[in-house]
Amino acid sequence: MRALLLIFGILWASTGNASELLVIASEEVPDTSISIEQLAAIYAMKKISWSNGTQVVPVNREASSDERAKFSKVVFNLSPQDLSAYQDRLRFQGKLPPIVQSSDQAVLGFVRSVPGAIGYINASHAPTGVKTLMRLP
Amino acid sequence: MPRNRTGKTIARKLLLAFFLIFIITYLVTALLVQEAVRSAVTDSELTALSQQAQFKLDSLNAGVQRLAINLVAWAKLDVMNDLASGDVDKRVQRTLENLKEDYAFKGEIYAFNANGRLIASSDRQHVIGQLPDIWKPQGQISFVNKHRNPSGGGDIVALITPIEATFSANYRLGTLVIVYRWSEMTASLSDNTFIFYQRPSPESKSLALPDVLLGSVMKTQISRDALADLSHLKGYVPVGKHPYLVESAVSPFGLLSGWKLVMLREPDVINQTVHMVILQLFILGLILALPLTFAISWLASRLTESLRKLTQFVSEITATHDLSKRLYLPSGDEISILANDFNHMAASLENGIIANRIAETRLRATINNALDAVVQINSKGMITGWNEQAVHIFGWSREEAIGQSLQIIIPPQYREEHVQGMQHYLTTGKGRILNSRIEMVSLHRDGHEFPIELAITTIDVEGEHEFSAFIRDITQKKESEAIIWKQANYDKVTGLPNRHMFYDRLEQEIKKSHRDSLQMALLFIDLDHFKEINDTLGHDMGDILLMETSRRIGNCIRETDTVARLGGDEFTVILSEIQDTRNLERLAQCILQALAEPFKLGEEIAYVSASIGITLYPNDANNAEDLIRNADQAMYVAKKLGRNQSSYFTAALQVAAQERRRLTNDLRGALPNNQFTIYFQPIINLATGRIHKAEALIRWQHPERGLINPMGFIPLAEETGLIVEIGDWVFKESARWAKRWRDQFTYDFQISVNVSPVQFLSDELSCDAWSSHLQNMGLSGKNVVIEITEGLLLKAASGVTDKLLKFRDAGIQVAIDDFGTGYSSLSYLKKFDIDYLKIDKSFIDNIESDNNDIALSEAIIVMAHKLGLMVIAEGVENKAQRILLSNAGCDYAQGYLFSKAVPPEEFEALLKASAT
Repeated sequence: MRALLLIFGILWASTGNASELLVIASEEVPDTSISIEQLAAIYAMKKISWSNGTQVVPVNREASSDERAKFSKVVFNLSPQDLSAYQDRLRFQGKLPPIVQSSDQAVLGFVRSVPGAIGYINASHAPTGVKTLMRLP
Repeated sequence: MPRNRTGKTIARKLLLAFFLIFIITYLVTALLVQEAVRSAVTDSELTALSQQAQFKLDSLNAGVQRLAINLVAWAKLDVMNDLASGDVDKRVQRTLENLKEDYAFKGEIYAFNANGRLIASSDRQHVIGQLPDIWKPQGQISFVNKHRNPSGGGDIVALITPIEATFSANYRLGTLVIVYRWSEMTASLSDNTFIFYQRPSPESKSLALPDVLLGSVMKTQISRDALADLSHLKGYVPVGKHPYLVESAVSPFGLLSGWKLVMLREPDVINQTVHMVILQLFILGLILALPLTFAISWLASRLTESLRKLTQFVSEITATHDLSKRLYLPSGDEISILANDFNHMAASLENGIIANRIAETRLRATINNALDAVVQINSKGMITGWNEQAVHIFGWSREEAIGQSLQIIIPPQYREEHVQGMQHYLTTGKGRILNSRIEMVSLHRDGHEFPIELAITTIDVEGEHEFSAFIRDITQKKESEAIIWKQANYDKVTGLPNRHMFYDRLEQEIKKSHRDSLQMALLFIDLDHFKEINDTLGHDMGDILLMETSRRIGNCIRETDTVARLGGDEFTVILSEIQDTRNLERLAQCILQALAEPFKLGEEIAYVSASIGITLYPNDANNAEDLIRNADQAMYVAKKLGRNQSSYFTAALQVAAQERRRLTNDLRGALPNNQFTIYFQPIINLATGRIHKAEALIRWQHPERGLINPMGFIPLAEETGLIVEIGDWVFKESARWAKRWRDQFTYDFQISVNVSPVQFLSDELSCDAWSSHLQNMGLSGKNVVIEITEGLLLKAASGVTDKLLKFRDAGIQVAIDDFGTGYSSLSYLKKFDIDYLKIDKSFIDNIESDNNDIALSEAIIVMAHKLGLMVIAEGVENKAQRILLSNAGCDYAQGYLFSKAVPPEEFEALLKASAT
């Protein structure tokens, strides 16, 4: 199954548009914008709640995806692999890595429905029902 | 022979009994075994069923549990996060399909998001839009019992778990539901199983909610209610018409908590098992029965063997009547004891039969040899027994007589009487002639009648009367009796009635005359001088004379009169019915004349005459004795008057006779009335002149006549026999005085007592009694001497000799009284032991004047002294006599010279005087 997912991911990546990324969050998130540092803290599992106390639920794209690669590079200046390795270490520390969604729609749907969720999608989309906190170049 | 079956029957009975016992035992055992087996099989079946139910329930439970675990695991899959995004990428959808495929899952998986919207499902056919209420998760995992599938289709069960977000504790992703088709779930249930869901809590029970029947796989059509009832039961339960084994299992915890799985099992298996056991038992029974039957029949035949022998033995005895057979059974059991007892019985019977046979033979021999004829008849009068003697006396043989009527020996004139007699006995039981000896007349075969003596006894033989007659031919006896009778009653010489018959006739005639008030006469005829004819011409001539006499007397009397010869030359004639006494006179004269005629005796002519005494009845006397005495006296009168004449009994004779009778009566009363006294006459010792002895002389002080001398009454006393009694009294009285005077005067004082010849010869005179009387009084025999007369010695009968010897042995001395007056024989003086001789007074009277008498007296005295006897002179009346006697050597004297007989008191005075 994982192999399938992986194949799907590769397919998605190859067809993805390596343009700008939109950082989106659920509408219950109080913040209207976010800094790169804050973003990095969230995905490094250091920042775990929003200012109103809501738990931060970060959503990743699969590691093979262009969006993930771009996000990793922009936020952490790290390759997605490196970031995954880091997040795996955290997993061993009892901190779950961010949820992985394998498409922008999935990320969008997830963030839309999960309070406190935050994710990133290709900027070509015009997301609804979510807050766009940042546009990553 | 029916008896031979006995042994077999007993063997059969034994066999039958054994079979009955065996079969009953077998049946009971089989029944018990069957019940035990049934119970055991039922128990084991129930246990198995229970285990089965439990196992089934457990496996169901395990299956559900496994599903639940899977469901929970699946709910935790990362991909479930996609529910949050609405499974845009269909990753959840794919995951559920893959899971169903991978697990070959028969049910369906539904994933609902947090809003209850179906996001993904393995079920492509049925689509459920929204999560049904029944599937709302409750807790980690929840199980929904059988219910209708909300998405359509059949009944399902469902497992429901909430899907928790991994990323946030507060975020619910949705609900994961697995549904499983009921049919799939219960596919593994065996037949007749049903599942109830029991309300777990008491509260729900109180709501009276019934248990829910979740499902059943039933072969049998059983109503729901019945199943509900069954669910509470266990064991062997009747359901409708059929019994069922019922067991159940309950899941107390787990997802199927509250489930009760009830299994029913038809008890066929039990019945089959029981039938199998019974069949085996039956086969076992058969196997056992065969050898046992042989064993029992062998045993039975062995047991009955002795019995069979015994039966056979008895049969043989019955058939052969041979009681000598014996049976010995060595078995020692009851039957051998029985056989022994039987042997004893046979022996006893045999002995009894032998004894009976001997007795019968003996009896038959006895009867056949009996002197009497023994004739037995039955109650019909038929002859059944006839012995030898019967043949002899009746002339009928045994063969002829048996079966004949007894009438053949009964003279025709008695036959009717015989029939009536027997009839009388048979109806009343009383027989005149039974058990006594009677004389009858019987009939001989040749038709002559003869006298018999007969005794008849009757015996009861099994209700039938039988008579035994003992019959004796008494022809000869009768003849002998006739002869004897004639001899007894008739005189041999003359053929006239004898004295015996004369008395009979006389009595008869007296009675007859008395009855008819007639006179009769009795004549005593005595031939004069018959003795001389007998002596001179011989007895033969005498007999001829007597015959002629009887003939001549007979000629003078009527035929109705009786002539009898009393003996010797005495005849009597009884003349009955006398009308006129003148006829009597004529008859007497006839007899006198007839007898006065000469008798021609052979060559000789003899002359006799007769003296006849006549007396009349009832004038002279009214009884035979007196009549005879009267006639006798009258006859003596005739003789005294010169013979050849008749004399009537007269009034004077009668007076004398009456006198005699009165005196006799007085004499009888004399002794009891103390009218006798004893006088004593002293006897003087001539040598000393003293009184040495006394003679006791009895006196009768008659109240009217005064003192009577012995001569006046002694003959009467002798005649009447009173002499013995009187003599006894004299003796005792004398002894009493002798004792007194002996003691007073001299020890050898002696009293002499006269003993009359009649007294002496009487049987009643007991020398022993007198002797012991003397001894008792302390007297010796020398104190008493008895005086007897010469005449007594002359009779010289042995009785006299013996008595004299006895007196001598007793020491009592004997004196001969009145010596010289009778046929004085000197020989007896030597022959008998005599102590004294008393010279009779008649000699003494004349000794003064008659030389012969003095010579005789002297001779007597000398002779007596020579023989050792003492001599006493009687009737000495004067001194001359005394001197003469004294000179002649006489020892003692008595008489008026000394004293007459005096009363004892006077005598005692004389004694005193004499002694001084």
